[in-house]
Amino acid sequence: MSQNNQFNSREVAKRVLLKEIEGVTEFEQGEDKYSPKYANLPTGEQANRVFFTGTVNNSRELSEDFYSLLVSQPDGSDIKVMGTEYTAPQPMEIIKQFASGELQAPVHVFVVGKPQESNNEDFPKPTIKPEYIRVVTPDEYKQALAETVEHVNERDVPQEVAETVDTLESKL
Amino acid sequence: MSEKINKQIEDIEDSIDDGYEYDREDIVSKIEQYIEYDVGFDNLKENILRDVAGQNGVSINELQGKSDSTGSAGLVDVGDIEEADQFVTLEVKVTDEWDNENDSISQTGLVADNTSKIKFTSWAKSEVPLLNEGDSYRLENVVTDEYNGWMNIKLNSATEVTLLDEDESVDVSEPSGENESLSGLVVDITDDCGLIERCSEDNCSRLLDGGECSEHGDVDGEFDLRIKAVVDNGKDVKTVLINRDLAEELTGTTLSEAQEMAQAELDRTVVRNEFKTEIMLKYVDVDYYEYKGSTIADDVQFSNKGE
Repeated sequence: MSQNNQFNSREVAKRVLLKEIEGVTEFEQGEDKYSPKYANLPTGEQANRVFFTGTVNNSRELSEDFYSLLVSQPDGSDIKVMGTEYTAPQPMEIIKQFASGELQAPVHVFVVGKPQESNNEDFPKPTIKPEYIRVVTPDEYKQALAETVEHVNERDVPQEVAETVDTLESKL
Repeated sequence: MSEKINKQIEDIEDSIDDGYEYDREDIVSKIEQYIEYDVGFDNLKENILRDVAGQNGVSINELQGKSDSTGSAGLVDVGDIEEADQFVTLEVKVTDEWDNENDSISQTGLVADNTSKIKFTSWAKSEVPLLNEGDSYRLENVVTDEYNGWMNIKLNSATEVTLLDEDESVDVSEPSGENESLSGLVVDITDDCGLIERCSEDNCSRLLDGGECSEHGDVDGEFDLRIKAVVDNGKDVKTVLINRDLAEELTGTTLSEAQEMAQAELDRTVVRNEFKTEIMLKYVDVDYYEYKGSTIADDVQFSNKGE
């Protein structure tokens, strides 16, 4: 299991590309039901908590108090940030503001949260349970993207992720 | 009285620094007693000196004016004090003066330099000049002491106190010794942040819980601001305590503004929410030091890389 799997220690927010979350093959959890759950990233990293930046494309109210916020990166990867009855108030408020048009896509965001398995057969990619979402400036977006690429380059990068890194690096 | 005992008394008397009182008769009878029990001279000397030190309310080193053999003790940083019963010289600022109800103590409080802070005690018996809070001093020949694992210093009759001029004033604002820095994102702030109320009793600054101090019960509160920010750089994560001055600077909200906000809303949590809006998911550069298991910020700035 992860080196961060220590009693009482807070999980680091791993800087991830959406491409890495899209490529999560499985989730792993320790023996008891309270152990943290880790997403196995295609770069060999295990992540319980993640931080990423991206562009909000749209937000939809799927049913009452059940929203999804679609966030993408320049290589075309995208991920759904979910807003449900279990979502913390701050990210829920932001997600609702996008759904109501009070906040308008496209706009850049920072998201910290936890990857979770999708229950949706039509959209089997992992989704994100957000802990905090902030609308950011293009400069902040670029800064975070550059930091993420730096962290990803220290991992064991498979071909498909390497292509994403190339795409992002060319935009920075 | 035997020649031997005479020599031993002489030796012991020579060891006792001027100005300390002792009963010669008492020492003689103790020496005789120790000899009877076959206690070697080095041991009996130490035992007797310890007794005399106790009677004078000083440490055994102090009694012997240990520093006299080398003149003034070496100048050290507060942060380097690790061993008890050492004579040292410090250049420090008096940061806190504590109330004291013990007649044998003339003054107690905290002194600091740019490496750390330490508790000081002046014995009434030693007639050390009183220190002024906020002033800087050179304290020659203070004795280090340890209590419950924490170091403190005692000012004694061998201690020479020199007030330092304004331009020599000791800088305590930016500890340089064990300082470390961290840059990362604020990914969370803890619940006990924002506008808080502390116990107003002297020497107590405990957080009030429902208007009550865990030590003093129902007391008047004193408002304060603080942030405990979880700073995460993607590899490590630390909870950093940001005290009032830095919190005001970082968030742009002063204590009185925070109190007004809380009054207007009849809710103190608005301050924490305001702080969250100001700092969550922003990159910060933090200078910090570790103290009693907490990570305390010396400086916090929003990072401006990428701008």
